[in-house]
Amino acid sequence: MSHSDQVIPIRTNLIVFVILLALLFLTVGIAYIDLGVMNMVVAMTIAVIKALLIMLIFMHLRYTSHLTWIFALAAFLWLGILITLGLSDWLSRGWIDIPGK
Amino acid sequence: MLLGACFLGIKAIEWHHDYEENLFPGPSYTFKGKHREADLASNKEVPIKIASLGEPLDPGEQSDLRRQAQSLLQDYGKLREIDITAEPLPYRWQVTLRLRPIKVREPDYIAVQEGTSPEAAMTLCIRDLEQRFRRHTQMFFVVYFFMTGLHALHLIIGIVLVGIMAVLSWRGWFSGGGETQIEVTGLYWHFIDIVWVFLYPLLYLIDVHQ
Repeated sequence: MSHSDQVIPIRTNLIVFVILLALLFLTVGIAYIDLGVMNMVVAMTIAVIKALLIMLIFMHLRYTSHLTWIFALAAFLWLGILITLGLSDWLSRGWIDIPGK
Repeated sequence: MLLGACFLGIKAIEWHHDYEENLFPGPSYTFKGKHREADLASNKEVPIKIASLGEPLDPGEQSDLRRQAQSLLQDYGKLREIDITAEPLPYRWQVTLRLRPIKVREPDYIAVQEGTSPEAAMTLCIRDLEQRFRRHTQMFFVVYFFMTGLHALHLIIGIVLVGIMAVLSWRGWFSGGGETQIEVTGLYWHFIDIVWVFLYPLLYLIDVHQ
């Protein structure tokens, strides 16, 4: 992690910061337009782009080995397991008929 | 650190406001007034049909009922459509209330006693609707307070960590340059970042267009 010898210039950080702010305003703007289910899709797509920017630049993923990438992705695997198990009650509703209900 | 502290300050004001409005989940939970419209958006399922034993309604009765429902639901703001159809079955009628943009997944019947008038059944239906709104919005606020609260906890930890790192490196405490420690603190800080990137649209911008 810490062995990315490269020090990111402040300029790059500032540019990413400005892009993130622009994407934030875009998210807010689009939220006010009725796109049906697409609202959520668009909002989450922008959120993913922002997360990728943060991870690649701010978290220095871009400048690290692919092994680090695998570990970073593994975190999302665990998050996926957490969310799936957390939703297990909601997801499995109605699978079994309960007499009297 | 400065921005993190600002965020916590804003949250404190917001929570205080929500608490004053009795939005904190618990026995005193109520939701009313301007919060309603926003809250309606968080409900995707609403009971919509009532069935009662009685004569099928004629068109005149139907429009009376429609007017009545409209006035009863006016407080709720968002009523856009009410369908009232008499079922072809004898001695049975049903009312369909559709509150858009809320979509109905499955019809839900409310049983009423034999001889209940359509008006009384309608009132029961609307009481049930209100109860469901109450439950659903309460669920939203449980999630909301939990998510923002946990995020605030992470932020407090982050601010303290960044502060410690700033002081230590200022004093030249690290034998090396302290790169690893500072890098890892940075990773933690940006993890909090990413969480908020997702939480903000999910909690604050969800369905605002409605």
